[in-house]
Amino acid sequence: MKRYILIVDDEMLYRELLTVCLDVYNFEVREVESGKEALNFIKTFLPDLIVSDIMMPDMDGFELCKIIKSNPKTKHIKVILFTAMLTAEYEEKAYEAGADSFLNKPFPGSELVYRINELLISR
Amino acid sequence: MRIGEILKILDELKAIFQNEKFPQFVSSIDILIEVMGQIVIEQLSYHVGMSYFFNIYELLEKGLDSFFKDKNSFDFFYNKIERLSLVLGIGTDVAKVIEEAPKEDEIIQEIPENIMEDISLLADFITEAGDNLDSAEAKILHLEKKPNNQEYLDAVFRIMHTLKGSSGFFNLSAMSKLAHNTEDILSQIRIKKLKISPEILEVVLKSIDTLRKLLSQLKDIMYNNPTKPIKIGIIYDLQERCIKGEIVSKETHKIGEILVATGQITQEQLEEALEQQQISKKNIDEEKTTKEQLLDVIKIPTHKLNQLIEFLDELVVSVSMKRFSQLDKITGKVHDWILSIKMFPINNVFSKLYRHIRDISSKCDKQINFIVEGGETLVDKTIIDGIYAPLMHLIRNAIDHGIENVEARKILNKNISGTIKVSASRLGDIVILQVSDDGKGLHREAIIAKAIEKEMLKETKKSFDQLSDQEVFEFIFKPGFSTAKGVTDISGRGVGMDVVKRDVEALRGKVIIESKKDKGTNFTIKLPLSTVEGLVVRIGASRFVIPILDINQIITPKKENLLDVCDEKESCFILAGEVIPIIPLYKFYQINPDVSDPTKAIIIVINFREKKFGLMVDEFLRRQQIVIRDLDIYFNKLPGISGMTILGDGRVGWIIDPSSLINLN
Repeated sequence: MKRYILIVDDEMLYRELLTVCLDVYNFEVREVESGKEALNFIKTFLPDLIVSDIMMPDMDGFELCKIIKSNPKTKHIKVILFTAMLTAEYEEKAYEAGADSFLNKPFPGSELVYRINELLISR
Repeated sequence: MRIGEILKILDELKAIFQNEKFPQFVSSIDILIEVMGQIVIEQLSYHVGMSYFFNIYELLEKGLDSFFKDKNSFDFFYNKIERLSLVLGIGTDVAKVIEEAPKEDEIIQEIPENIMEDISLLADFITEAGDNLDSAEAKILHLEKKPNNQEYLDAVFRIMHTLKGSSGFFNLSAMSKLAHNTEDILSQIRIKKLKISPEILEVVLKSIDTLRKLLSQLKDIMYNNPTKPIKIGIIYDLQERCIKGEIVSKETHKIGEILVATGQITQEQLEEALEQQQISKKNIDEEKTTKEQLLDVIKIPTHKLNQLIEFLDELVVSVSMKRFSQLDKITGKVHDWILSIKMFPINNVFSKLYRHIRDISSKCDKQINFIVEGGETLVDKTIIDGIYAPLMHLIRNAIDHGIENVEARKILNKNISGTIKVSASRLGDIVILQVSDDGKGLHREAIIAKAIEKEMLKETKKSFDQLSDQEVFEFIFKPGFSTAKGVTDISGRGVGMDVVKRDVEALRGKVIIESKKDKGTNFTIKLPLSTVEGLVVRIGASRFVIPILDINQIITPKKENLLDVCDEKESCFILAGEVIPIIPLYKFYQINPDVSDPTKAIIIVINFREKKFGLMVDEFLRRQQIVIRDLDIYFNKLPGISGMTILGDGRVGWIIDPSSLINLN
């Protein structure tokens, strides 16, 4: 069974990278550029998991995560937030916002895949 | 691990794969090297770059694993790697150019035998050639702005001609050939066979860089330091193509990539780029040492030396004639003269900045007009060495976050190209450096909000309007204040601003920010020269020196002007309607004072930001020119003290740094 993953990042280079590396592991990947687009996207299609950057213009990852987790229709979607900021405070805030996992950029693809597998199996 | 070491390992890996004849692996390694290179030249941000690096490396690893199980299964991974490399815009023709480069493209020079006996000749040559290359580089950068300036062209031509001759004299064939080729390119331009274009100037600049690398390699060999081969074949190639008129813009845009891909980056260049990447103290220190090595020999204009000798002659005469009254005057002159010798024009720093800014702005989609003023200002060598990093940081911030992109500027009715101005001037004992931009400016409210969020400001009911702009902007210098969030939303500033402040303070300087929303930001850095005018004061048996520039006035308050604040008796006084807190230095440094009553003591009123503070001392002795000496590390924790000096009577005078003193209080 294919697992669907939605990547949310305003940085094209990063989206592309995550897409390629998840593709290798046979995930079905979709990508969007912003939190708003992500919310639009999940209205019509529910992914198994969302991987989102925290720092994005307009709507940041925390906010996106809160909205997803507060909607009964979407709250089962696992969310992994990542950021380049190295402060512990971000990790705390990520979990407060309801994220299921948190990663610091840069991370190897295998780490991301490991987290994804862990989350999707526990479901 | 350093990027240099990583590159070395990659090179080794590549060699192994080459020997085993696995071309796919070789090209994957090339891509990894290229990614590293792009991080170094900042085409890729560190995070994105490293993420790519990790993932490509992982793919390669996986590919190798499956390759050993089944010979053909590497293709799958290679396709992925190639896709990523395409996203990064790494062209495949890079490899082709490398192949075309001559075989002996790497050299380690040798010190010619005929010079072995008189090594100092070679040392002089290295220093002189280095200086000449610096000035050639500056002129090339000018040429870029004013391509019609024949004078600059001629000057560079002459420099190359001299270099060709002198390196030929020392039998340094590689250097001679490079200089010769550069000379050829320039002469083609002179006879109008070639037209000046950024691409051609780029080749000339690369040639200058390579010549510099060759010089530093020579130096390493001279001092028996370990050295690395320098790739020069590719530069010859570029030069020759340039002379033949084959350099067209499309190809030359990739010079940077080619250089990186071939591992052309030397340790110095790497360090320079690294320093930009993450301005860390360590790197700055390293840079300092390389600079100091380069300046082992200082060129002094003959007239200055002659004057110095004359002074010394006078000195000898007056001693022998026992005219001691004149001694003081003459030693004073000698002192001033020697100080003037160790001063350098700040252009040394500016021209370097210029070069980097040119590189950065060509990489971002903003149009930037970079203006430099007052480059001829003379400053201490310590300032030259220490100011580059903070200035660079401020400028990069201005480019990255201050200047809006073209669309935003159009909407705001601003000139589409942003202006960044760096200027230097002298005001008495201090050097004033300014970095200003006409970008979006700092956002006062957002900084306050951020400061509250970070708990640097206590949220109270009273409005924050009372805070002065300077007090608000000061927050961006606090360590940990800036976050990427801050970069995009708040101010567009603040990345590592604490480092800027720290570096400037290490030079005993101050940073002042002025900013208007949508109008721009102006950073003023004030740096004292190593000699300053100071006021010598006494508390008990101790002597302190307060820099004159910080002093507002000196006063003994009247009884009726004293105020009790917060249960502390007579802890403030009123001066022209302003309440000024008194800082009794004797309490702070636990000295037995002669006077502890403010109405009998001397209060030195100092300016700090937009407020005044009063330092209470026993008496003031005199005004004096002082030479600041750094505190030994045993003393470096002394609060409020920035250095020391030996006073006229042989006593030690502690130099007070008002800003840190007030922060402590």
